[in-house]
Amino acid sequence: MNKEEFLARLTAALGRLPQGEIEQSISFYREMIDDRIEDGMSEADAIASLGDIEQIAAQIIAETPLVPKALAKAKTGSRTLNIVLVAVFSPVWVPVALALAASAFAVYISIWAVIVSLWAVVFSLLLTGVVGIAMLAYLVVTGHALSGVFTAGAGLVCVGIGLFCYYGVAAASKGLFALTKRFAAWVQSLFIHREARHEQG
Amino acid sequence: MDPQLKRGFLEVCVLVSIRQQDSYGYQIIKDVPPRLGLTESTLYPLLKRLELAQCLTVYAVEHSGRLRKYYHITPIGLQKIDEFLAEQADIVAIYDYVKGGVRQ
Repeated sequence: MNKEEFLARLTAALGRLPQGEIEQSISFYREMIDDRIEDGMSEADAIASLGDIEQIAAQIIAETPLVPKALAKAKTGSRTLNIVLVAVFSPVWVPVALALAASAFAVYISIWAVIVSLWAVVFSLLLTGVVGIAMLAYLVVTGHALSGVFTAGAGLVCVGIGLFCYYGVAAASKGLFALTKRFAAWVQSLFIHREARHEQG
Repeated sequence: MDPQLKRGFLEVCVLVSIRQQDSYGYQIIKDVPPRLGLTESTLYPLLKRLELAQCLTVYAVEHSGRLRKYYHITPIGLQKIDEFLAEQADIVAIYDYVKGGVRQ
């Protein structure tokens, strides 16, 4: 195997990684081979000393963050799907990342929307009680005392349900809030490699 | 040696090998003692990680008609070496404790 063959095989083994990633790896190994030859080794020896191509590729892929790695490992079995994946993910990485960020944001907002709507239900149930009392006063004054009592009663039932719901909603909000935090952490873990963060510490 | 542990050690070895003067990939492999088992496939991701952590910077120099990448240590990289050396007493203490435990 000569140098170009080696590099072509390595490119193929890295095939589904982002283009920039592949180019960096190839230029590194090209330099390594050239330096060994310059040091007096034959081309074949220089290449043999680098080790197994599959292992080299596996090591490079293992150091890449999760999303590009998943793509690199994806053997979809469908030629079309592979082409679509490569086309979508390699040259236009930034817009794709933006789209993913937008989706993540949408999920985040949805969770908050659920929290807000739950509280709106509780608030309106409690408000119904207040309105019921006001209606009682108004209906008694206008001479419909029985209707007034009925309205106030219905209002008080709603207050009861509202108070009951309050505890449930408070617990649910807590859970949903924790969910947003977990979701944020999960999204972050897709893009930032654990080792890289570990290194800062 | 445990791969995680070894990687931590090798990072510092690579930083030390570029401390006195800037160096390039093959020279680094020759400089780091063979016993530590630094190979191309370990060096490449290691250099990338160190660059990401701003422990070193990279520049290309033309050399016999081709480009060769040189690595230059940064203050953060120097600090990392100092931190490693400062941890020696802690590491020795761990070894002493384990040795003591084995003898009993």
